[in-house]
Amino acid sequence: MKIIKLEFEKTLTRLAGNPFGVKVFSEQVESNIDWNELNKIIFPEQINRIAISFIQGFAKEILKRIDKNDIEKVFDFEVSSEELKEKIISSIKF
Amino acid sequence: MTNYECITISISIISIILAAASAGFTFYSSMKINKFNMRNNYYDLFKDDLTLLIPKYCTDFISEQSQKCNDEVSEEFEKYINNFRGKIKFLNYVDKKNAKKLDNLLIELEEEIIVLPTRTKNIKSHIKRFNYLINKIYIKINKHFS
Repeated sequence: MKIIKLEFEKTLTRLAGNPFGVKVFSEQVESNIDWNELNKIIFPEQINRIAISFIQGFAKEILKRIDKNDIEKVFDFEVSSEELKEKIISSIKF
Repeated sequence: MTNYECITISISIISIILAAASAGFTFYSSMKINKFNMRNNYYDLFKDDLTLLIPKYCTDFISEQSQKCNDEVSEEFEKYINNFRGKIKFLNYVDKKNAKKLDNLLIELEEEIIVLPTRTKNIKSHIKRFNYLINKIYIKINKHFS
């Protein structure tokens, strides 16, 4: 399993904005993905809210490569709560 | 052809035209009533959301008086908007273009709901933006049912 740890400013607790999602994905995730195995993306514990706009920007390039229903085969998300993890997955699959 | 025959034929033709027009009008009216009823049924699905829940969340979220945002309501409001997106998903099959615009507005609104309580600068302009989005959402939903 490939592990990708995301880093944000320590004071940042909420992620929002499509362009910010695109930026985080291209700067911290894209080059580290192994499309043939499971990639675990770890969000820092301090991140407790994520807006759909961020998720859409973050997943934009992912959805060009894989079908939305296969997202859990290639990506696992470690976030501060199970509810937030469900939100990420359901927003990608929406 | 006598005058009497001419009048009889004319009356018959006028009767046929009137009967056809009447049948056409009845058909058009029933179609219009069906469409109206269908839209009313759809509208009923959102009645509570539009007349009770969204206004309540809005007034609980932002205090008009102090212009401050309630972060606890923000969390509930976020969940509500996420569920509401699912509830209106069927509109994609009614009017895809308008439904997409409505969905984008809800995503923008959800962003404001999450970020507004943390903002320290330009709060008034963000509250204005929040109110603008709410207004646009009502207009878009109204467009589906008018």
